[in-house]
Amino acid sequence: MLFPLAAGIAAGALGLVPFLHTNLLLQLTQNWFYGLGLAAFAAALAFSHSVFEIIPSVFLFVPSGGQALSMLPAHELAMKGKAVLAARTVLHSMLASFAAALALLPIGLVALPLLFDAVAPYSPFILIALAASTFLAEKGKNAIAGIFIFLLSGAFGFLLFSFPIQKEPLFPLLSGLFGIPAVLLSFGGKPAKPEGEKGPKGFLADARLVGAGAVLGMLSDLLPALSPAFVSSIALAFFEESPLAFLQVNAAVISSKMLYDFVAVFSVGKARSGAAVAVQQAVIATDWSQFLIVIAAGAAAFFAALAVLLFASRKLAGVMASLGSRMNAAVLAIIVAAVFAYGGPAGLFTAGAATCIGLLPPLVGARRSHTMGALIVPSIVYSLGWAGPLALLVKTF
Amino acid sequence: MEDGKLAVACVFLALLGTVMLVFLARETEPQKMEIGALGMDDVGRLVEVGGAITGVSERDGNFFLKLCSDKCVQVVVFRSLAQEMKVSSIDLSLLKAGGAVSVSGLVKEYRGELEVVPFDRNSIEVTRSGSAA
Repeated sequence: MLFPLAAGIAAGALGLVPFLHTNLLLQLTQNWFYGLGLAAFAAALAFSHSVFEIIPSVFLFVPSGGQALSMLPAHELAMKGKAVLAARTVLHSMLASFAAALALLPIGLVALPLLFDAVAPYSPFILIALAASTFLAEKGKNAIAGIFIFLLSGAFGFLLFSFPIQKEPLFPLLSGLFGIPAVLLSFGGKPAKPEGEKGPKGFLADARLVGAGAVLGMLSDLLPALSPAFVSSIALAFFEESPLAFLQVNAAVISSKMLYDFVAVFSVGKARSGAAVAVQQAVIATDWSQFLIVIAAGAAAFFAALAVLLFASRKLAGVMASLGSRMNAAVLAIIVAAVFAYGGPAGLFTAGAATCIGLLPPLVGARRSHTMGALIVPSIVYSLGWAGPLALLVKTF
Repeated sequence: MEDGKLAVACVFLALLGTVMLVFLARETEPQKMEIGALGMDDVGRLVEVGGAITGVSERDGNFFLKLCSDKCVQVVVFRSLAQEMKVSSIDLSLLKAGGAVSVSGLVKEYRGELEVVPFDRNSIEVTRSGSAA
């Protein structure tokens, strides 16, 4: 089991390469192992990647000042010269949340199956209510813009996932909604400047925010298509809306949700992420000794990656800052090439149209999480049983 | 270009992309798949599967076919479509175990199990009558 674990940690370190998603890495490496070895590898890769990807997400693709209204919280801090504070806050919050999520595990194992059965019949209505809460959290005309972006993304996602237009639409879709717009908007932006030796000291996670994030991360596995950013934006309707608060809640949701993505495979038989799907296909989901191995592999990779970054975050920050916006064009070319290699002309078309949708929130000053409608709307439609009539409408209209 | 004009251009291009996707979707044929290759990732997708009928049941006008090849999947035909099929293409009450059909439909999940749900009156084609009609 040590070799899959080490390979998973090493593959997860590729999270330092911008927009190299866990699912893509898993697809490229899925033949390396099989059975329980594959499950341990997938869990290690997912946890390691979730930690390493913090560095490019904080230090690269800081947009120009004109996009301040919808700037990502980490980039807002980076613009103020507080990039290392942002990175260390995220790392500390992930650590605290993971500890809390592990402590909640006995409760989660008992409560999740019960809650899942109770929530399942109402899941489309809960998803609608959660989406509505993000519109209400917007100010003025941004609420209408948010609804428009959510529905447009939703229609786009429904068409992509319901019809065999292309085999694997997720990578081109997410690249278009998030990756390419981030790179495009960072042309002309200033690279994040690390604080150097005068950076933040002490433990930077707020117990209240991280605790809430850990619980929400666990509960988010009850519903399909909920991303950590979407859950965090809902949570912050009840907390102070500062960049640091968002970073803490979001980091806490990420590490807790990652753990419970794997717990859900064994406790309710649901796979809520690409890595969880890989684990589900590789293990016997009723074998609790296999559950312990998967969780142990994930935890070991998480702590190893965290330790590396806590020691090396300042040095990596310096490297990333020196790269700055010079690498934007190269990263854009790599994403486009990867989309073409992965999805061919149909992939490029999907990514291009999705880029137009992904650019809308920053351009109109709305939240970027509205574009998650691309995953949430299809889930609502399928849960309500409307997929058939809608597909028929598309086919016959 | 200022943000307002860029936003309008993006809205136009995003709508154009979605409309083009509708036209592409209209041209797509269901993806031919083996029953054993169906997974949770395929929920919501339009597929075509074929196999032998190993069981047929009817409740309140809704028909349930058990279709098997390398694995088995349940095909669910709801009452309104079953009635439409009866008038225009196939009487599902005449299907019996031993026959073989090809089914186009959406993959759905019901209580943890995958189902294929036809949505068109021409979605079921008899490929071997066997003891069927």
